[in-house]
Amino acid sequence: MNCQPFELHHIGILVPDIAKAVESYSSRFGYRVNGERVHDPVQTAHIQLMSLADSSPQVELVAPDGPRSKLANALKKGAGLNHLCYLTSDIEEDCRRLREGGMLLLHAPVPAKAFSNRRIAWLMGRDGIPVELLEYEL
Amino acid sequence: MDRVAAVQEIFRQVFDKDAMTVSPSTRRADVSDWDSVAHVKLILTLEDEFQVRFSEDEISSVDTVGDLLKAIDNHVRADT
Repeated sequence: MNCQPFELHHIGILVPDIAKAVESYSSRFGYRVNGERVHDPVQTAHIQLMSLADSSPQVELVAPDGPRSKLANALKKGAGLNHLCYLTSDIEEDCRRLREGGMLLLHAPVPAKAFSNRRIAWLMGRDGIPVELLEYEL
Repeated sequence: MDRVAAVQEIFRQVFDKDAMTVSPSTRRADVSDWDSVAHVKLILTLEDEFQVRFSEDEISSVDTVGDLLKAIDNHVRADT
């Protein structure tokens, strides 16, 4: 399947404790926090974006907001790489196209607090890595 | 291996629990790890195993293992 190349926006890393992970990514790799830490009630997660000085994709540290969080089960299996997030200029069309290509929708487009209510959608394919689509900033 | 046993084997793989048992009456709510990610893994694995493609409605309306078995039956019958 040929398509316009996506732009990788961030790599989602699941962590048990955001503050400790921020310290770790800062001291080990030189990441700096990018914006405020956000609590997203739809994702049931605390979220902190971090970036390097260059234009590399950001990392998004995500932590469950409690034992009933959607991420609680995933964290029980272990912290680490959680998802890849790509930018999209047409979230419905890209969801449709990726579904046609064999991925399944985990979550239909919904506004995301961490991204000023730009919409995100979630899909997953047979490689088992969740993919987040994020609308470009207008 | 009958179909219920084959589906149970897939549950064991997806949930990584060797002794897991399921029956047609097992509900999503009965399996604590049956979240949306596990659901998609289940569906993709079942599609590969039984060579079927579930519809959006079938995927989203699954509440029990029996619903999965019924959906598989419908597709397998339609293909024969």
